[in-house]
Amino acid sequence: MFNWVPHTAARSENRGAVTGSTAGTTITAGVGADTKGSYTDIGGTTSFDYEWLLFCVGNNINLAGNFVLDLAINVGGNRFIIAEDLRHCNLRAVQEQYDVYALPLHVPSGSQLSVRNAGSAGSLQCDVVIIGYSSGPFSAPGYSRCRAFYTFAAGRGINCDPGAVAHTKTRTQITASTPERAVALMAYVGPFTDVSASATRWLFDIEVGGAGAEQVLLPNMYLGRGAPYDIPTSMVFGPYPCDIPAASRMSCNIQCHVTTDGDRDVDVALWGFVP
Amino acid sequence: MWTWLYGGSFPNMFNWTLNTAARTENRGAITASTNATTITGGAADTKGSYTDIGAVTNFDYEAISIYFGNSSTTHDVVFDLAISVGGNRFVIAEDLRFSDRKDGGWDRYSLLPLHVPSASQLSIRLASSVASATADFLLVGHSCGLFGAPGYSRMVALYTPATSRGIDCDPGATAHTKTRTQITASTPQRVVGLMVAVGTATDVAKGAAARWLFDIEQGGAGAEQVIVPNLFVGCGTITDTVTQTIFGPFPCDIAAGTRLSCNIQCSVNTSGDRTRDIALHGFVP
Repeated sequence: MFNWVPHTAARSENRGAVTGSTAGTTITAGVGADTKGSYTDIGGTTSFDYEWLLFCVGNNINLAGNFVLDLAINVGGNRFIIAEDLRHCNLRAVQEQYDVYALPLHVPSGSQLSVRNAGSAGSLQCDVVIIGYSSGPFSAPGYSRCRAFYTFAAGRGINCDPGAVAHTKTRTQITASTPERAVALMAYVGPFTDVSASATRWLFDIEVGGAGAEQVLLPNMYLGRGAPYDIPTSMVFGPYPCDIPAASRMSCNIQCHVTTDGDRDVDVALWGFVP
Repeated sequence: MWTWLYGGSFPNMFNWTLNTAARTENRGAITASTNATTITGGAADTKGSYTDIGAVTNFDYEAISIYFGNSSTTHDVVFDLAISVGGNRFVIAEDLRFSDRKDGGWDRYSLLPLHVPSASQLSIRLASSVASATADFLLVGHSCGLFGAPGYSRMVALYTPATSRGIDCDPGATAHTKTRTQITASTPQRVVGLMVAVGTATDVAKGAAARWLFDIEQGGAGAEQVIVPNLFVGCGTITDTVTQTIFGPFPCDIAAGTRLSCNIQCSVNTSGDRTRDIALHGFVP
């Protein structure tokens, strides 16, 4: 059974906050676009087992762009990636956007947390702050790791175009085959390349199954933006409970209320939590 | 009920549902117009009537997601989610926050661990800072929570909305230095999950990009203990507002009658630009 910890035992600690400048720990991407840089340690080693953590990212200060980040732990000299290719969009202008991931992940006590990133341009920088919890909601233990169910390019997810007919869904495959069984699913919806848009809203399904036999996992999630923002203002969705076998095909079926090419496009990234 | 080694009956555990049983259903989407169900507020800062969100639920929910946006105007919103079962209406999530001070805000509560019985009618009412303003809502129900967990009975507001927003927290005129603001003097019930919503207070024109670090604390004045340390959020001069950010729910165990506060610092000291509003919610076991 789970190693059950009552709620009353919940502890938390922060790693990465820089209170002297009200900032996080700065991570620098590799020199080339879509190339991960070196790992940067996030604060000191963990003081206790985490079963859940918050991953806050923002303050991209040197050049607006897209990011994917790996969260890793180093225990006994071996580094393991526990969350791969987390997406952060700050495409509109520097220092505009912040994202928060709630990740039900186990991190052993005494681990060194570290993060590396790749950007849509070389050497992009962003700040990371992590808050670790000794138990998850319901005192649940964390999953072992979070796997990307997409292959990033230009630091973003898979382009999903609802097509030229408003209010009509168009399906795009996000991955042909998931690498492992997942029991929780998380999504991120970014603006693809568009940073100058009219007001737009979308409804989208996340689906599992072969072409022509897709089954809806998450029905008609709702997202939009206004012209002042130019980009969707809600990004991270979930994690949601699920049970997706390894080697599943995942897709996104999306509709939009405008037909303007570019404005109607989004990019979608998916992740699965491995039990 | 089992009998265990130490005598007496084995305590009742959760009605545990495996993740493999997870089902979902949508309530409130209007696919013909790529839209959701419109809710209208009453007079300014006064809740309007309840509006049903789709048909009754087909199965027990143990978690629920709420998506909202498409406002009729720029405004601040608090809204209640209720269920109607057998003719009785219960509020299961009160004074949820939607900070939409700059046109086109959109947000969601991704996975609220709340129990909704099968055959319940879900409904929402809202109060807006602007009389009779509207916003659109849809819901996705989940037959189990993360880890197959069951939902809590309800979620209560741990703040009192003023002008349909949270409690203004001003970090003060010294950058990078924390200032504490009480969010509630006394929590109404014991809670075991804590959720934090950060809004833009009244500021929609920012002179410079800004960042905040803030703690959520419990305890009497002068004896505060940090529950959530140094949450990180920020915004720039184009969006001008913190796009509403939801943190949590965090695991916790906060007794009834507890004082809660927010201790916040900012990278800028411009009055107005530096102030955020904070709303707290707790899940009742």
